[in-house]
Order: sequence, then structure tokens, then C-alpha cells
Amino acid sequence: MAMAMQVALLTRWEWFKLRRRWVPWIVLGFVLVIVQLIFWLVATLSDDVSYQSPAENIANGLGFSAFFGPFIAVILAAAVLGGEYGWGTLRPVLSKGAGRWPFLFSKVAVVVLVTVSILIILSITVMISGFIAEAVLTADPQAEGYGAISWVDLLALFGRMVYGFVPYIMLALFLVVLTASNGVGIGLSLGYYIAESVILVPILAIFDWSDQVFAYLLGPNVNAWQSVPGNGGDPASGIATIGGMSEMAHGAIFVTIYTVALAAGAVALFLRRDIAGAKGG
Amino acid sequence: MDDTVIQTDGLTKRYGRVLAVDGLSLNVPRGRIFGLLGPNGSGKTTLMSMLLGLVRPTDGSFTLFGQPSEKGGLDRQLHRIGALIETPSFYPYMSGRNNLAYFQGISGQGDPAELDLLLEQVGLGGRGGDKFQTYSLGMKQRLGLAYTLLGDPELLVLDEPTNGMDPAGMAEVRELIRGLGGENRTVILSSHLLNEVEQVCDSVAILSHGRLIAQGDVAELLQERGQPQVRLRTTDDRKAWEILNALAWVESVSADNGYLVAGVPPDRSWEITAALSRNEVYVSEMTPAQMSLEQYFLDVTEGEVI
Repeated sequence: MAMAMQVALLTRWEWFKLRRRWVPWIVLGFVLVIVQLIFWLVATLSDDVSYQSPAENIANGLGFSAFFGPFIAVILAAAVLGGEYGWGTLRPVLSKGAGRWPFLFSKVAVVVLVTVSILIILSITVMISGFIAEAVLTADPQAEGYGAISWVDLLALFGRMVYGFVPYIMLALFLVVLTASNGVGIGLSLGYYIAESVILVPILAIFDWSDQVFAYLLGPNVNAWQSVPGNGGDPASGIATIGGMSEMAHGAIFVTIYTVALAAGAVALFLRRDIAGAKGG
Repeated sequence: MDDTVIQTDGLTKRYGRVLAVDGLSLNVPRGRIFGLLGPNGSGKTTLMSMLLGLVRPTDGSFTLFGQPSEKGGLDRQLHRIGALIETPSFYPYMSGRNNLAYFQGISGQGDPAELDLLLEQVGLGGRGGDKFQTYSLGMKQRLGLAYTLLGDPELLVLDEPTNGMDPAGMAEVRELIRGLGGENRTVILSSHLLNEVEQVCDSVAILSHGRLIAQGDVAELLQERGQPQVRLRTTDDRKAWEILNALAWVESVSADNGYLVAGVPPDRSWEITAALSRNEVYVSEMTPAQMSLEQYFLDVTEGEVI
């Protein structure tokens, strides 16, 4: 209980620091601009502009965020921890008795909270844009929509989106702790994401045995877990699931495994590392 | 109440093949201003970092306020310490005041009203609202001092606190540190400036190659090690030199900064006066000479560069 209180206290003060930086505001602005651009592009260029409920519009917006979410998670996570190495502030923080693992977990908490906040703001703006689109564009109420999404479905999707970004947060934290560098941490994390999704997956597709490897990678599992339900209900991301389980359940298991493994690695390194040298890295 | 604030027992830190701290056993008494002296690479910063939980000892143990470090709870003890190790590092995009507010917040101690008082106390009253990245090195040191004083800690650990300050600022900070020690508060001061340590500290520990080579009260150490001497000026120093050299009970005669320094206990100074006056050399000035901490340091470290 005392530890949870300590993490809560540190999280509050992490936000005190983070809100004074440019990073979260730039990320928020970037997300809003990109999602609005995609929304209006789809709404105006599509011949079949369908009438969609506010929940469906928000689900669309969240679906767009799945593409750039990992980038945002990595940049935010690396920035909040990497900065401490860059500025040499780990030494004064830990000398004040903050505690190593509460400090690390407060970093995770503040990044998750900022991600949630960004997704909420994104949802609200997309919903407003939906109302505007409905009013100003020609809508065909008979056209097939994105799918019947209830507010409960939307809440579940929101939770899955956030949870799907957590392994990327952990990946960035692990690499920042490993390299004691903000820039290298971001570079390696994004490098991993790009290597996996842009290089590895197409290469693996050439080989017959690739389905087995594909099912264990982080990216495909996050996609399976975060997929916006279509009309058929369950998403179809194309991974060969183990033991006949659903793609979403398979994704959930592997997202959790990656999260726990990367968190354990980051904590183990952070607890054992000496804070020595000019910058304490 | 325990009279020892810090007690180390065989504390050792090894970085690969480099032995930074070698089986150090040290006591820091409560309520003293304790100087930590040593040449570069002697293990001072590593020792302080181990005491603050920043660096893990390879071997040995220590107690803080009587509590063993191994039992955990070091973080709780750290709330009773204000420490500034190496160069002051704070968040460059935040003001000095916000930096202090943050560190006060995470320690969960202190009153926000304390912040302005601390900024005034260290001479940053008018610049507390400016971003840390705009501060000079001297101002950063001052903010570092304010940071160590957050929550009115029982123990202050200061590593080169006057580094980068102008002479007036150094004198001001020395005065501040002198005022901070005593009663229930202990100060550990690591400095390369031997005269600073001599002026400010009650006790010292001298480290060399990670080992403790001397520890004790400054005055006692100098008295124990120092050969009794008197410094004098005369009407004819050349002749006085010859006369004193000829006296069997004068152990040594040397020149220092326009003075003659004779190896004689001060209580025999009247005999010097008598011997010189018999030869028509008259003493114009004579004072007992005490060994300086610098001489002592060079003596015990065999001339290592500090």
C-alpha cells in the first residue's frame, strides 16, 4: 500500500514535469492533425459516405491511431525516462529517496495516462467532426456502416488500444535503461517497430513456415488485439493462432507476455545499475 | 541518541579492475562539519554515492543514523539527507523554483512556503523564476545548495559546493555551511580546496587510492603530526639563520615567505630571543607556527596532487 502511494505521488510529480515540456503537446497536436486529415480525407473522397453513429466515428478514429500509436508510445516513454539520463537528474531524484522501482513505474503510469488522455481528446474531436460531416456532407443512411458498435464495444476497444500500446512503452523504457540514452532508446525502439512491420513481416511472408514465426512477433499480436471489430464481429489479422484460440485472445496473451518480459528487464536493469559518472548513466 | 551518523565497515567498490574504494571503515560523528579530502580518483564521490544508494557496494556494509543499509529502508533514511553529488543537475526547462518544488514534492516533506526562503538564503531570491538552463555554474551551485536544504535535513552531503563560484560567493557559501553545522545537523563536505576545509570543518578524513589514511579532528591531527615551530622576523635574518643553526636544541631552520621558521617548541621562544640578542640580533616579530592542512595533506599522501 505504501509503495502504491509512493508510485501515485511520483506520478503526480511526473505530470508536473511533463506538462512543462513540449513533447506531450507536440504529440497531441500531431495526433489530432493526422486523425482529422484522415477523417476528412475519407469522408470527402469516399463515394459512399455512410451515416455513422458517434460511437462508430470514434472507433474509426481509434482505428487510425493504431497505426501511429506505437510511435507516440515510444517517443513519450523514451522522452520521460531518457531525459533523466541526458540531464543527469537521476542522481538528485534517487538521492531524495524516490525509490528506484516506484520511480520507474511512475514513468510508465504517466505515459499511460498521457496516452489515455490523448485518445480521449482524439475521440472527442473525431465525434465532433462526425457531427459536422453528417451536417455538411451528403450522407446515405442506407449505406452499410463500419459496423454496429455499441458504447460498450467502444469502451472495450478503447481499453484494448491503450493496453496494446503498453508493450511499446515497455520496449522504449527497457532500451532507454539498457543504453542510458534518450536518442538511442527512441532509435532502437522505432527501429524494432519498423524492422518488424516493414521488413520482417514481408520477408517472412515468402516462406511457408513464416506463419509460425509471425504468430510470435509483437506487431501482429498487437494488431490482432487492437483490431476494430468488423461486421463479422471478430477481427481477422491473419495470424496463425496457437491451440485454436481466437486471434484476439492470442493477441492478448502475447501482448501481456511482451509487456511483462520487457518490464521485468527494465526493472532488473534499473535496480542493479550504478548511478555513476558525470551524468549518472 | 546515537552519536554516529554514518559508520562504514570494510566498504569496498570495484569497477572491473579498478578498486575505487578499498575496505573503508569510517565514522562520521553527529553534529560535526566533516571534511572528506583526497586527490582525484581517491574514492570520495564513490563513497558518497554508495552512502546514498546510487552505487552498490561490492563488499562491506554501512549504517545510516544507526540503521543498517542491507535491511532496506535506505530510501526512508534518504529523506533525512540533503545531498549534492558532483555538478548540480536539474531539469533545464523548469525554473529554479519549480525544480525545488518538484524535489520537495517527491520527498513528500516540507512546506511550499519554504521554497522562497531557501532561494533567498542561497542568494537566488531574484532569479528563482528563471529557467535552470539560463543559470551560470555558480547559480547552479546555489540552487544545488537550496536543494540539499529542502525539508531541513539532519545530514548534508556536499561535493565541491563552491566549484565555479567567484571568491565572494565562495566566502558566502563557506559562511552558510559553517552556520549549518552543529547541534543536530551533520555536514559532510568534500572539497579540493584544502584551505576551505581547514576553515570550515571540525573533523576530516583523508582518502588516497580508495583507502582511509587519516581521520580525526583537524586541530588534533595537525598537532599530532606537526613539528613544533616558531616563525620570526629579525633585524638581520642572515645572521639569525647562522646563530639558530648553531644551536643544538633547534631542530631545523628554514625560510618561508620572508620569515625564518625554527623547529623549536613555542615555550622555548624566550631562549631564541636571548640567544639572538646576545649576538646583537633583535626579534621584531615572533609567532608559534602551526602546520597547515595543506602541509599535512601533502605529508600523509606523500605529495599526491589534489
